[in-house]
Amino acid sequence: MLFNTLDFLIFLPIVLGIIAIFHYRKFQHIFLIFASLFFLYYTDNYLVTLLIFTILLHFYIGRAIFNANSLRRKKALFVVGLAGSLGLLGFFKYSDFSITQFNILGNIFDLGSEISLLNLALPIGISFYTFQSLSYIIDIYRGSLTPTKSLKEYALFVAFFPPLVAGPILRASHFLPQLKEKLEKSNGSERLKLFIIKNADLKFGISLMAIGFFKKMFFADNISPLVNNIFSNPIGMESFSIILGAIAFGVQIYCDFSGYSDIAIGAAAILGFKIPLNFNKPFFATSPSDYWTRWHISLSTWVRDYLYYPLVFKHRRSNIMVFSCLLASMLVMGLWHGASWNFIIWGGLHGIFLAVFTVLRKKYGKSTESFFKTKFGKIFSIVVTQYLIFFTFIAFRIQNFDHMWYAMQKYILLDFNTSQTIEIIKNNEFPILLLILFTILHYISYKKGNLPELISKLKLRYWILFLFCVVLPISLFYVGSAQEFIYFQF
Amino acid sequence: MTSKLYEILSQVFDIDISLINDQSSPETIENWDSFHGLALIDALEMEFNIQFSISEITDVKTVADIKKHLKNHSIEI
Repeated sequence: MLFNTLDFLIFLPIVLGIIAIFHYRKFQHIFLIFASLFFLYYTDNYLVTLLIFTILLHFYIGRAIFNANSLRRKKALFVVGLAGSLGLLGFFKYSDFSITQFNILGNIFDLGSEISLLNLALPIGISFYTFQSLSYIIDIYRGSLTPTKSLKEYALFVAFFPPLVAGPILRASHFLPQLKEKLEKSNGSERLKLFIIKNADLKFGISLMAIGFFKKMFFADNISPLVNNIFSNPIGMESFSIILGAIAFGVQIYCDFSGYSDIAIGAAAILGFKIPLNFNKPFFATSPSDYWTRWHISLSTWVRDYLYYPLVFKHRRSNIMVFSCLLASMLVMGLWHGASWNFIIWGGLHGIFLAVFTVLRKKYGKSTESFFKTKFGKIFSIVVTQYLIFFTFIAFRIQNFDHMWYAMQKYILLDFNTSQTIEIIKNNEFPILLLILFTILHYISYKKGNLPELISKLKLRYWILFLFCVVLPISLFYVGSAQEFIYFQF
Repeated sequence: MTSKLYEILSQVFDIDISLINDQSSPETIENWDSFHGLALIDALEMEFNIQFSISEITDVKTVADIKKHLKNHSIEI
């Protein structure tokens, strides 16, 4: 179910209404699990069984790992848990990609007949809920988490509908205590209430959801034609047109994905759950490393904790090992996004930037510190970082290798021609205006800190005015049909 | 010992010691990223002559968590 459709605008109030009317904690809990499963079933049909399988597998494996009396048994169970869910993810997401690569190799070495593709439907949200569920058994295996005894608690943690299909990727150590607190609160008048919809949460949640819809439906969907105009066939484009396309796509995907995250976090907040922010003004990042503390934070911290740290931990004093581990981690992150070489290249580029930056910082960090603390140094570092970040978006957006290679060359080797770019700007005045407006709002948000929090504390009349200011441009400039969120395909 | 820990944090993250408390975290200390996180582990391991495990490192969300893990290594903080 897309957030930006009438279906969701009917689904959410019904769920909230039932939660608000029936104050029986057991009912509310089970109702939320079934509402979440329905949310996925509505789009994914029978593939919802994969989610149910993942829940059952990791719930029982998690308990078995915790209760195992030998390290060998712990390890064996852990491997079963990993293989089970990664096997599913690999089968559904990467089978055809692997077969294609195998067939290409077969043709090169003239091995004869080709293997036919499976053409499987990609289960929606599988990359997100698999990683979310995996973190649970990894934490138990490491000894840093005690498994829950309740299958219902675990089911809601994995299936909770707001972040289910495109994140943020939750951690059990963060979500389960919040759920437990609701389930165990049993004093006085709140005896039977589980998910109490509080005014403050409602106001904050609606504010954040409104901002999310605004980002997606006003900015992302209306900037999209400019991006398509430039990148559907970039061959022959001027350097400045390519740079404009890269910037426009960066802003589009940020508004699309962070918009989705805002709606998810907002919907969860209305139900009384706090989900950490997934984005934090990424276009003001001062280094590749800083960027990954600001962009898709739930995935970058997942990769850091469960992949990079275990890889680098024993070898962290060796520059070569730090370089290799960062590169390997980012390649996996690229592959996580999709079974396509362009995502692997995108991850590889980020890996190289991160690795070079980390090694340079180790060597020259102290001697250059004073420069980067000055205002000029900070602006310089933001500009250089963003130039690199927008470069990587070319690989993220363009799947055709010839087109990607051409665009990358033009992005780096400037031709200083302008006539075509001026023409593109003239023909896309509205998307250009949106890019300027976005830059101003992103800067205000960077300077003011937590805008949704500030907005939710406005007096009621000003808050309603804010909602009106958000809803009006969305409805005036609605593109005519619900555009899918880019991260749905991952 | 708490002051020693704060001193190390101040050096690694390059911030004034007065800005550090037990609730300090990557959200409140700008420099606390994965690079400085590993540098902090190095500094603590060298100072206290201990070795952290992966689960201890990934479990750290605040300065209070560092104290908890140092205690597990019999370092009185």
